[in-house]
Amino acid sequence: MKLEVHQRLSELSAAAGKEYGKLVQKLLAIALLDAGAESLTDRSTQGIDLEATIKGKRRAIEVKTTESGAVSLGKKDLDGLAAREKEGARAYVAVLGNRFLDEWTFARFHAGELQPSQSYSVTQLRPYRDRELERSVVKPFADAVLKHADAAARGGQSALDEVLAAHPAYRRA
Amino acid sequence: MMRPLRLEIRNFRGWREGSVALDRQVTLVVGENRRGKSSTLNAIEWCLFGREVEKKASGIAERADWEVERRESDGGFVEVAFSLEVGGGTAKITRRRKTGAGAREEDDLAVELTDGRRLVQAEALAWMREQKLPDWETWRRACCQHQEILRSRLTVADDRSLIVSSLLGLDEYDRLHRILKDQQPGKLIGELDRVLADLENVVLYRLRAPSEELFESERRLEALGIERARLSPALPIEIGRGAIERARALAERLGLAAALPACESEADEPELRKWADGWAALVRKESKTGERLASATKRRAKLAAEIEQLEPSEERWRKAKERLDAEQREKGDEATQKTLLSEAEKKVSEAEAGLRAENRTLALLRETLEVLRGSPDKDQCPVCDTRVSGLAGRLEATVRKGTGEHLAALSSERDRARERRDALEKTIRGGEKLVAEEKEARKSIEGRRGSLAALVSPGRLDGGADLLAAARAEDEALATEIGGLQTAVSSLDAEIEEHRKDAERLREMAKWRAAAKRAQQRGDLTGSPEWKTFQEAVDAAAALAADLDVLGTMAREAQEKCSESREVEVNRALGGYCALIAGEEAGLDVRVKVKRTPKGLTYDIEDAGGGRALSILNQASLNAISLALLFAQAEERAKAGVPTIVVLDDPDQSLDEEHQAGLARAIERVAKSCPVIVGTTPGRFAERLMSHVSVPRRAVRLAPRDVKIGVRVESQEER
Repeated sequence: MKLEVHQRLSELSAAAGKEYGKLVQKLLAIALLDAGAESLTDRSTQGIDLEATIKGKRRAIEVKTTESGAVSLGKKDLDGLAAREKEGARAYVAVLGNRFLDEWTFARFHAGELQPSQSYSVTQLRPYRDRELERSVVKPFADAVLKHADAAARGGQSALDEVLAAHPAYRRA
Repeated sequence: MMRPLRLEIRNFRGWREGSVALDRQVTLVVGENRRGKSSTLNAIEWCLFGREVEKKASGIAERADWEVERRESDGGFVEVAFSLEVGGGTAKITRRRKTGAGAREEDDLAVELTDGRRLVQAEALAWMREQKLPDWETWRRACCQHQEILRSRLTVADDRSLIVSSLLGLDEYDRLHRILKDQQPGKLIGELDRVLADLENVVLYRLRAPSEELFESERRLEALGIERARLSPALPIEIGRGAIERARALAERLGLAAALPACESEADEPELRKWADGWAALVRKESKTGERLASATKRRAKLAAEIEQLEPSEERWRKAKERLDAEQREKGDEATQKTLLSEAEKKVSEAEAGLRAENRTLALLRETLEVLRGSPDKDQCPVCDTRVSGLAGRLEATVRKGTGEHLAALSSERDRARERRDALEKTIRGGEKLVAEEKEARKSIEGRRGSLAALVSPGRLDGGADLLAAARAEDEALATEIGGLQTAVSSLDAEIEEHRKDAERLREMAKWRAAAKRAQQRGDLTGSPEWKTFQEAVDAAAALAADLDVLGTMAREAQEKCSESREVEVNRALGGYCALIAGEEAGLDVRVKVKRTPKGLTYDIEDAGGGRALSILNQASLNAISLALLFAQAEERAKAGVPTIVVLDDPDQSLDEEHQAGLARAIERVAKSCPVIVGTTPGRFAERLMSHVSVPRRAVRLAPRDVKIGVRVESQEER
């Protein structure tokens, strides 16, 4: 990612603490909307984090941030993704590390291949990447961070909720 | 069921040429040491597997540097033909190698079938695979595991697990699983993560200087009132437009005709910054407000100084004049003083003249007296020759008394006249000094008044106005003007200060953009071909790791599935064979145990109580267990329809008679499922096999070895 984006995210992480993951989820939601998502639903508490329709395809995205370079998914998350797959949506695990060279990894979810509570390094998820989706989100995400990170650091989730609410394609959960 | 029929051997190890019938369920190859038992059994192995056996990698210690060709060979070929009944017909497998052939030369392999077909090389191998004849791995494993069990106490769980999995024919799964699942994918992913972290460190190291420069620039911009969120390439234009608007308004207010720059795009920025840097100085210069303020301030300061100095000067003049007036009143004016002085000087002259005359008279008298004193006639006047009685005496008295007193009076008079004159002169000098002082004071005040009058605006002194009052009015007017100018200058300063900040912002923005560009150029690898190549390599490696991971999982699943059935199969027969070989009383109630752990499957041989069996057993018991495992597997394979043959070379090693009897019973049992060929020395074990075993059997006794003739059969016995 761009140096300044990395810098902003590092500062946001330091300022937001445990809330950082949710803030990044909302920044990603803004980026997906800016990238042309036809619709997007963002959930803060229960269910799959993001559900979006992008280029006519329904996508269910479980968003994870990591400092260690590895993520683990709960059984509920995996069951939720599996359920969306059954319903015909494309399910993804989206991971963003906090290292300078990290970008979003959108790994396609295949039921049964990921085990609950097991740690997976981002490298392990690389073979399942959806490169097109990753490419489409790089610039919008960088722009969203540069534009909204300071507001997020000051105003938390509600500041980003306001940005999301102003987008016509945003659907309230 | 596979049944061996005959073995024909030529130039193989100890054999020159000969054959051995193998068409019984049990075939004993009996002979003392060095008679060719092992060569006979090895011939079967070589015929079936050829060069596989000779490879050092086989792991069978006895095969290391194996010499296949008979040392005393007379040339031609090494050849072994193994006839057997299989798949409802008979077949003859022949392996032939030219004597002296190199290690890379392929053997001739042929299979002759009863229907007349003759398959060679690859076809022959394919037929053997199709008939499920014993494969090399199964054979090798059986040989190796027996060696390992006998040589090692197997106190290390992993070694036991490997041996037992090998016994069960699962070691390949196990090895595959270990390689794929437990080592390679994890190592590869870990290595990739390390490489990525190292790369990041390298990039961050390279970025350190430009990023610090960038962040320092951002801090300076924050100090200039620009939050980082606002930073963008378009911001300088926004700042420039604001600065130009303010400059335009200021120019209008000050009535300046100043040229303002264009501010439309990034291309205008250099000119914009140049203008911004020079605008403040231009405004100050053109507005003249500062100069006017400085001039007014200077003028007022001068006026104040003059006003301040005027009164003391007037006071000084007044006092000088008073002193002069008083002096004149007391001592007259200058003319009177001079008249008196003239008179005093005249008196002095007169006194001095009288004194001089008196002195002359006295001198004459003294001269006359002197003459008289020398003259004989002291009464005759030497001047007029008149005679006067007592002239000399009288002259002396006159000189002494009369003339002396008169002279003193004249001197006194003269001195008084002089004192008077000196006093008058002094008075005149004092008067002159006072006059000079008064004149000087008057001149000074006239000068100051002139200066002050010059500082007062024309008109204020019209009509005989008081100079000081006019000056004070002038001062007040100047104070008001200065106040106004100061306000104007402050306002201009504020405008210029704001403009100066804008100019600084523009300069800093240019630095920030350059720093950001430098940092980004160094840090932005994403567009470079090297980064793309690196990413592809990482992706490929990660894909390989993922594949290995999946394959590892599959291997483990297959291993689990296979282990379950093998465990049941082998355990079904294992206990029985152990009891047969070691005897019921030995309590060798052992079984293969498959354990599932998070890392994978492990294998062990446990006793009835669930304890470890191998590590506490003596050599005979280990041998018994190993053979029992071999027989149990063979029995299960044969029951499953897999062609199986058991070949045992000196299996009674380290077994006492009781165990040998048990082994004979075990061979009898396994021989009911598959043919058994046993190489052994003459003795009770061989006799027992021939006399006590109930299955058809043959003993082939080998003659003492003759180097020229080679191994040969001395006699055969069938029962």
